[in-house]
Amino acid sequence: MTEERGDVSLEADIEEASYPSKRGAVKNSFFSARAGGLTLIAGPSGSGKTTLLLTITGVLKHLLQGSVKGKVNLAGVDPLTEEGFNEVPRIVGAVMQDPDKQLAMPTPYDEVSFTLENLGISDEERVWSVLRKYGLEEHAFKPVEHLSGGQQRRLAIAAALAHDPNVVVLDEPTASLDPWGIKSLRESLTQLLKEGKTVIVVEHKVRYFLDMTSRTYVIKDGTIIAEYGRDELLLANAPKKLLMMGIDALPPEAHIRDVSGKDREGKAIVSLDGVACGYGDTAVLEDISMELRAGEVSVLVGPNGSGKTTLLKCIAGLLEPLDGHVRVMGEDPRRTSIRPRGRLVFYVPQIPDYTFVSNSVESELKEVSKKAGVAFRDLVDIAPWIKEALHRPPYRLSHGQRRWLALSVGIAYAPKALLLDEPTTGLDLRFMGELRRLLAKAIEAGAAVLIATHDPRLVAEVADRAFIVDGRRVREVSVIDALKYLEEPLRES
Amino acid sequence: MTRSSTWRSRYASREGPVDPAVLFIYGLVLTLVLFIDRDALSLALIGVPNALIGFALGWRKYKVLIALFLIGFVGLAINALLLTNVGPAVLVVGPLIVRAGAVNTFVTIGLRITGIAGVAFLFVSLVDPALTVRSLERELRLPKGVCFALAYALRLIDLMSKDLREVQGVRVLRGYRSVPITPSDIKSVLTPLLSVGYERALWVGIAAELRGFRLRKVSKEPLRVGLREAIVLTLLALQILIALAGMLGYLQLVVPHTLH
Repeated sequence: MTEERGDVSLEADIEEASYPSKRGAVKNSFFSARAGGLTLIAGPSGSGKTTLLLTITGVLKHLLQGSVKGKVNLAGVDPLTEEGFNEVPRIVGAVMQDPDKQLAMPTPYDEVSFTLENLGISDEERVWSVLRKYGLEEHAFKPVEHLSGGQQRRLAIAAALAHDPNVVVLDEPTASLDPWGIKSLRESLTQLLKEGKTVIVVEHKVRYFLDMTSRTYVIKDGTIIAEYGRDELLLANAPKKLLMMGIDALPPEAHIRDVSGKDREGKAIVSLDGVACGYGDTAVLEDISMELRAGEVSVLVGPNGSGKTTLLKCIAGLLEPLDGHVRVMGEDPRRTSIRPRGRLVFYVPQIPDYTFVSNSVESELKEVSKKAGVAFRDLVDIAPWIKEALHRPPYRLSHGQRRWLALSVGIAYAPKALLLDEPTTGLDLRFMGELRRLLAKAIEAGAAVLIATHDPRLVAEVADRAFIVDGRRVREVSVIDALKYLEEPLRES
Repeated sequence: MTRSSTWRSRYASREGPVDPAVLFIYGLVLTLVLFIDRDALSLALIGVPNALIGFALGWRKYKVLIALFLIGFVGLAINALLLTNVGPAVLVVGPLIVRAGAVNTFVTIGLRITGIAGVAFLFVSLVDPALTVRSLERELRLPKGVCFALAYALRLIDLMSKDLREVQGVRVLRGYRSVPITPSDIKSVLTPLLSVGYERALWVGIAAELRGFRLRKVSKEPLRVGLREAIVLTLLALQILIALAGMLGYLQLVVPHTLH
């Protein structure tokens, strides 16, 4: 699809890039990117991928008070100088990792207008054409917080590229996207490459881009340690090579387990009977009847915004069903006498920070110990890194650690039903392994686990049963069918 | 959906009843007046109507914040009793003797913060953040950084309300009070909200700069004062006069001495 033939539009030779609080976050790294080519920077969480992007765009030096030793040439501009940094917005369209945290304006229309107005482009028709291009025209004046994760991601891309920049930089663009969103992203990238743009993607789930990249760099501990051309990456053993470096490159089928022999006679922990759930009087999902059994991991798959989170909240008793009955161990979770309610059912939200109540990991675990009746020592021993992080605020841990801690908090309550909302967003292979270990612990304790996800790999690795959100209904399918459902859009693209 | 060329007509369908710049002036000046004013009666005359309108307009979207604000009155009463409970006794409840000093402090500060909160809810309920940033920078010529920060703060209120609902949900599951009452509760609710808010602010700042915020050129426009804006400014002037009258002691002429 793409070959290395365009002009070099980015060359970065970084001797050392440091934050005020962390020296050498990136060091001894050289990479380049060409017009009309997709350059992939792959590496596990915390390897310095985002720092590298912040370095080449001048953000680290000019906005985060960091220091950079080295040279960057971005389409003839040096972003490390003040004048060069002023030119960066005209040249680059950058989309950061979490769309929810980079949208400044209240509606998609305002968000796209904001970029154009900043750059002195007063063209209303252009705003509409950008919104149309990214499928957001109908949502132009919808509050941004009412958009689904996938729509927010599309909006972040639309706003960053509204002024038609020559260099496009995307940080973990698939992090919160469903397969349909990834398909749409791939189509957008293909179009950008056809237009001769330089595309730089930072990602640890590289399999979505392997067929599109012209060059791939692997970064580990802040240093680029390997470089592959397009042909090398298409070799059969390339995904395994990347896997050895902690990068998720295998298709999900490679991880699928055989669940045919698994005992399906576990006790029903959660039962839903004709449930409708939603907000106000509006049902998002209706007529749902399903059971979750002890010792089983069920996955609930469906597109962004299809109502997966709403159903989880309904089962946890955080939303009252509009119709029907939710029972956990025969009790209505909203009216249970079990205290704390988390002993009956625990919901771990997509943003792990919502779970925490204390200002240090140590006091967080002490609180868990007090409320859940688990020995503090046992909690500290769950993971080797906990001891070193005891005095740090949970909010300052890495993304993977925060997610892990939130899940550990939930499991410590030994709930009969454990509900996880998109637990793998932004998680690399190492933390996927940790997640599997924690889930095994919950299963061993006899919990019924329900995971809302659109991550095919998670489905392949942990699911015993699968449910698909189909319109406003939920239906049970085989794990293989759930995987096919998630992989279909990617095959099409 | 209007698709005309000027920013004002483009946003016509979303414009509030009053120009955001005028509402901003109203809110800012009234807040200053309420800070300066120490007369209970003029504070009541200004604060209570603004609070009633502001809380009524904001109730649907900000009821949790309003509830938290009202809970804060418990703290205010305790402070007043602990620090200013002097003068003649006004009320005796068992061993507790409430004196004029405590009543005076509670009433004065209570009216002041109620008025300020009312004005704040009135402002955030009536303005659109995107319109505000344009209106303030073009009509009031405020620095674009200040306007952007203010507009984003307005947007953060909605985002934080959403975050608060999520935090409250998990607190219930973990066995904590959903509505914070003690200082420790408040701290444990505020910390995740501020943490998420800080991260949002940081990345929004970076994203805005990468999208050329520093290059933003602002065209000037005259302040739009129509009939409704004129009414708001007149009401503002009237309230300034009431505050002046209160501070200078003229309100004593028409109010029975016992109420003072």
